[in-house]
Amino acid sequence: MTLLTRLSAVVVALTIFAGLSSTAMAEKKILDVIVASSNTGNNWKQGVMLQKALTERGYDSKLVHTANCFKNKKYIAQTDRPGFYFKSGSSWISDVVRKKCFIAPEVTKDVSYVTPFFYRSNAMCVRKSDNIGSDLKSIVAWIKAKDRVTIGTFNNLPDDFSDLGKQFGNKWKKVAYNGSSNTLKGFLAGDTDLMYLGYTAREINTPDLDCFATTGGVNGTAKFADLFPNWGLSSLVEFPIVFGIKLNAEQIADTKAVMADMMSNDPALKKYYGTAFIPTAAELEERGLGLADWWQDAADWMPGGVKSDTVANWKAGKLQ
Amino acid sequence: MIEDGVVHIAGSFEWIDFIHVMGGILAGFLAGLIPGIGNTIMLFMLYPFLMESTLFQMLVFYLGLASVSQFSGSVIATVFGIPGESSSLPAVREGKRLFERGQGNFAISGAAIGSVFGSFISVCVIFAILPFVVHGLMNFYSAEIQFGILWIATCSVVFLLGRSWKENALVFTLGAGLGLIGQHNVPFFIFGEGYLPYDTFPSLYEGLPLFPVVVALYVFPTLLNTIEQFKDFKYENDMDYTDNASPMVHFKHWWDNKWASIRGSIFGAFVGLVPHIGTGIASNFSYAVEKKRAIKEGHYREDGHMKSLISAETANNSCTLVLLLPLMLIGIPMSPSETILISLIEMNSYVINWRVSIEQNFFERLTYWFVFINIVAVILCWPAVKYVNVLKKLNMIHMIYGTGIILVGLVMYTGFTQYDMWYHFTVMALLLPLGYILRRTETLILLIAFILQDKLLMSSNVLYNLHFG
Repeated sequence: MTLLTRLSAVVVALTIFAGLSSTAMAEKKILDVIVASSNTGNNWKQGVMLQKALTERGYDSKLVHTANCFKNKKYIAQTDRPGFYFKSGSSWISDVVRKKCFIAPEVTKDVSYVTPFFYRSNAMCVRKSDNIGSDLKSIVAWIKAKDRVTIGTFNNLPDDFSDLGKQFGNKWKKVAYNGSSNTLKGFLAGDTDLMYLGYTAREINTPDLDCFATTGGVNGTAKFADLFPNWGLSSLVEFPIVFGIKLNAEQIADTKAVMADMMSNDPALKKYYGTAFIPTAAELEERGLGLADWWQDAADWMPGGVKSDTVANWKAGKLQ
Repeated sequence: MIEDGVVHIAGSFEWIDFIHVMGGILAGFLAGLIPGIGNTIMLFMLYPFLMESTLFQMLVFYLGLASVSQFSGSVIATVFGIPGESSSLPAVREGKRLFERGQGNFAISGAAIGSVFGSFISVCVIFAILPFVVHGLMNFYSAEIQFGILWIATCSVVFLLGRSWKENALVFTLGAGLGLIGQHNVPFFIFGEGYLPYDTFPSLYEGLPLFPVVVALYVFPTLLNTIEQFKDFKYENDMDYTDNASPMVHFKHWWDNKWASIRGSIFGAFVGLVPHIGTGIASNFSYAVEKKRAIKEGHYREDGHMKSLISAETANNSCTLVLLLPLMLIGIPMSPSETILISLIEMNSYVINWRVSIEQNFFERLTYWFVFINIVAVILCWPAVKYVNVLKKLNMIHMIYGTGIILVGLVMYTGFTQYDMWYHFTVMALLLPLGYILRRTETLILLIAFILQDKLLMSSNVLYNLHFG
């Protein structure tokens, strides 16, 4: 056999292999997971678990880190791959009001509403190592006895805790950190007296943390509304929904179904949401929550509240 | 410990880690050999190959690069008298003289074998201090401590580097100012909102991207200085590097200088922790101590002193791993190449801090690989030194121009991967004149200010709110 013949045979074999591989890839459904926030917190953690679960279900899925609203917009404009990202009302408001980056999900042609994602309480915590006592009475007395209470929280909370200052007759000082991970680290190192953060498996499993009150009163904690009746943020929750990117109607239905399946049946995701008593996509669908509730949640996170026609403007793609 | 290391590498061996280690060794060998390239530029140039790498693979690649480039940098310093980094000045001084009196091969083997020895000492130091450091971080890494560490890092670059602290402070302010462009979360503000064209160029809201800034304001001045260095450069003699001695003879030579090696290792492992200038100080300090000692004892040779050289070379290698501690524990880079490493880590969507490093057992895994890297450097890189004469045939100026062109391409490529190629290119192009103006200053300070300003702002804000707000 001449060298030319041998080379031709190799080329033909490689072509057949490449053809077969691409056919096999083509049969896989594409669904990328896009994380449009930092890679230090809970969103990233969930993104990693979702991408893994999708891959295990036979999807061709990539984890894309767009990090912020601006890059997310650019990514959406450039990509051809179907995917989804999740966005809470708090994060959307922060993008719009502070960062001047606006994605109007109901009018942006490449973005579509898929399903509610989850509904998570926020929590207020103390350190066990401060030996305040584990019962609510001791904690409340300890807070009351202070002239100045420092509370560590994430940076986009639309409140300065002055309502609580009035209730307890002392001064409350909000100390903002960049993201939940830094907030928790600073709190554990002893920076602040209290911490206000999302109630996740991380907060439940950190040994030195005692989260004594939450929005929903879950896991045997006190309910904010009962403990702090005059606090404007006592009902504030984290309510992200799933936005599809470059999805057609069939793909939207498929994404909705696979989200419900993953959150109920994937061991890691099930544990993550189960541990923190977080109702997931299918349960929220059953409760009838949807896009309108997400808009309301976004309005709740607006510093100083919103005018009546603001949400309507947002929905129509107008930033006013 | 050696047994643990062998068991570890064999037990958790993955080919992909091994490929990263070997890639790092090869890259380090070339980075040290080619003047003006160095770890920073080499790491930057190889980013496309590291895009899919995990955090550990990037770290182990970097360790190979940083360790072996010290060795190959001292080879060209010894054979050609060309200084690479500040840490190779002892090699230029003593190595060159040793080379001229026919001892160059022993100078190089002494540095190589000494580096393996230094790596062992460095591993012992890491294992000894790590539990205390981690305990401290877990329990006491409060806002005050963070603030203190950041300001020590800042003051050390301003007061220890360059020609004058006033010039450094100005360069630092400029770097911090460039870093401030865009939005900041804590405290929230948009820098220069009324003056900078955010509405026309919304990408500015995201801030200036790091890679174009590094190329325009650190790499470009470095390459300009290297071109100047080589403009009238002529090889001082026609001597070629030769080595006919057996490995045993080399080892015996090193053994005769073992105490110098031990002293250098210990200096390196501790002095290396001085922020931003650790390697240079470790190397030059060990050299000065050994030279003074030899002069006092009356055995210093003006035509090249082996003990001083071996001590300096062992010291700069023993601090390579120690230098990674601040990066792996609190995410603060200690050298320009670590600045690039941390940005590559972030671009690959990883986070590095003590929690990640401890949870994933990085220190133990890296220390074993570190010893392996140094052993491989002796086995593979030392024999390869005989080909160093080939470098005489290359036109260094052309190589530097070639490097510049590749870097421009890489800025565009990384911009493309960040969905904003032309923004990255424009930032680089606009900053190049500034890089030219700053070519005589210590632009490493600018880079550090650009990276640290966000952390400085946040920790200052937290501290203010805790105590005064």
